[in-house]
Amino acid sequence: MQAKTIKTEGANIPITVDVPYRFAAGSYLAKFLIELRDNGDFYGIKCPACGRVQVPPRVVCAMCHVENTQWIKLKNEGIIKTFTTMYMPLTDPTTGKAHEPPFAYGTVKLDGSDSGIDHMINPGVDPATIKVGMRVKAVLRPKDQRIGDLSDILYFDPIEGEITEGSGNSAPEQKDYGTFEVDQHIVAECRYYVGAIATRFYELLGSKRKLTGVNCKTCKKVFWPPRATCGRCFSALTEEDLVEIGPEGTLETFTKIDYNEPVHPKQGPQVYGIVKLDGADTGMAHLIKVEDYDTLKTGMRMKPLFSDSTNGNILDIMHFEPVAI
Amino acid sequence: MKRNVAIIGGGQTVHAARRHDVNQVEMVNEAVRAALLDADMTMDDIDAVLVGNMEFFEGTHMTDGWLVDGIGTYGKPGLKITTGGTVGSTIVCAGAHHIASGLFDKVLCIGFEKQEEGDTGAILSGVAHPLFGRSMAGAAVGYFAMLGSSYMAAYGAKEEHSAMVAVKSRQNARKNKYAHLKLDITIEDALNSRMLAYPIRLLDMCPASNGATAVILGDEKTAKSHKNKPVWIRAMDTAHNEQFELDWRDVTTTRPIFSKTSAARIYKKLGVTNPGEYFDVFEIYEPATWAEMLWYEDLGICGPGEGFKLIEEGKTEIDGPIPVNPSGGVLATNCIGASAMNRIWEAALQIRGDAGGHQVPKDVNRALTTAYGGTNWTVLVALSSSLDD
Repeated sequence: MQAKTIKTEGANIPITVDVPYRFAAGSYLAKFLIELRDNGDFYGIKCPACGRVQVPPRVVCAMCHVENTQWIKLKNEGIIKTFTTMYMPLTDPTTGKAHEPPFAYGTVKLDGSDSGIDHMINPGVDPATIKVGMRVKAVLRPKDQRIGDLSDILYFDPIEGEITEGSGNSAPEQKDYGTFEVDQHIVAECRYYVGAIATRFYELLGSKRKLTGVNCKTCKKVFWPPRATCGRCFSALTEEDLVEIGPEGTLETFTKIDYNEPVHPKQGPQVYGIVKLDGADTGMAHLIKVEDYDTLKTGMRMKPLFSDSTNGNILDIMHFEPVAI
Repeated sequence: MKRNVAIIGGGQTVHAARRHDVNQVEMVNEAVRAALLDADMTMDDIDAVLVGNMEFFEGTHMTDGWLVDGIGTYGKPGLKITTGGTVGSTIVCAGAHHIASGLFDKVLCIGFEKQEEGDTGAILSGVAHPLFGRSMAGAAVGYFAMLGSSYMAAYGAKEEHSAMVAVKSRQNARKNKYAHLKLDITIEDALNSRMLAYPIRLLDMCPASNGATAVILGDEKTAKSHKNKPVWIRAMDTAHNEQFELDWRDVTTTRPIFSKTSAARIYKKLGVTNPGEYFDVFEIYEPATWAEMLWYEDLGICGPGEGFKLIEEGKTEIDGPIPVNPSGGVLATNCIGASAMNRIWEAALQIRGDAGGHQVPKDVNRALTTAYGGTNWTVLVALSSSLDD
């Protein structure tokens, strides 16, 4: 991780958050997606009270609070309720790729349904010719390329024709579609601005290998990490209140982590603990390096080992290790 | 309400495109200190703190845990709320509930967004249903573009009407010290700005702002003996939309959607028959120009399909008979977690006569605020200078 320390701007730290998810479709959506994948068919579900045919199919009608029971096979054509032509490249988060602009997409109400489906309109069609109310037909991927996702629809294509009723399916479907789960990631590129006091902390750590805490004169306490407000008395704290702490300190608590998460700074078993640096009233959590884990004891004196080059973050301290007796 | 609640103070940051000089807690602390100063109070006077933003918009979870020092919650009761774009308003309502219940007397409400720190597009895509629609990722622009498309097709409104709303907002913002987009633009500037998603152009859409707002609520006894003129919260209402449905994207819908349902209920609570006359000023939540025209209709300030005529006739200008968003609205400032609170705080400033350059030039006693979120619901709050209405 690299930090920029520009005096007028303040240090900042880029953070990539990559979170994997596994989503379960549930039985209603599973049927919709599997029928689309296997047979190229669209299904809605009808509320026994208000008669609305809902897409995607769902367990309860939100308006009537009753269980939806009657499956309806919809036509694969319908009308455009609304649309837009997008001129910005928007990344499809499920693929990581951008839909290249300009592209038209809209909400299509399939014949027989009361709800719409958002999707692309044929990119070969001149967007200026697209109108609200236009009839369109779903164009699907070939069966061997369909996976049970709305992307099984390539786009909706303008056609001629009149609105017709859905081809109703009055017998309740008994087939068991099994579980349907999909793995996705959300990848977010974030950037954390550390503020003036922390910028100074990182500058002193990076350039002088000096550790600092912030002193609240009212509470007579030195806090690590340095902060702009004392949480106890609400006094404003500034760079003038920074005081040198450590470099050595006392081990307050520690543990060994035997499992791995992608976010860990390194993989494999690792030891970390909290060291209260000399002069500070609160501790610093950090990695601990020790030859024999069983020799670690709370109350031990610890010293930091600094990295050779500046990272612009807390890993300018590589770890703490016991002070040789 | 069991007990009456008033806004007794507030403050906000100068909302900006960039706040590289502060971290999240420092930015929020600016608004908190401004509110305490305005109310002539210290953190020790506060009984509970409610805070909120858009979940994960800064790439940080559990913001209540990370903001403790700067918002005074060490040892204090409070909670964090996150309800999408409505959050600023939800926090004020929750604060009012805390006081109305009789359990607390003085509550600090905070909304914020340091939007530059997160990856808005990626995180907003997480709002879409993972298996039904996430791949389309049209985001807010796509949603409001479809609203505009539907509106123009249904009622014959033109792109010029959108430009009129864009101009009103940014010219009002020029009078508002705290607004982000203080732009001296004309209709032509708006019509020539870059097309994002038809019919939404760059100037038709809200910015991404960094900022925080804090509002202090007090019980009746505190409010009546306070140095500031109390702004009473007279009624609140919330209505959710059904997921997956078109709603605002099909302006001809006859379904009882969130905006109309909530307006009908709050008007019934207050006995309002003519909202344009009852309220002296409106602060509505308009992420895009077309949404403002729809709010005029859904709030009953005009009839269906007439929203674009109202802006054309200048009725909602800052010196018009029905001023809407004298602050510049969301189109001028959108630090999402604070945006809905800005509506309430700006309306309170109007009632107090403290809005400064953007004060509407008439007696302001009653105001109505709205909120909107991608969670697809609204929060309406009615404010008054008096407990009689």
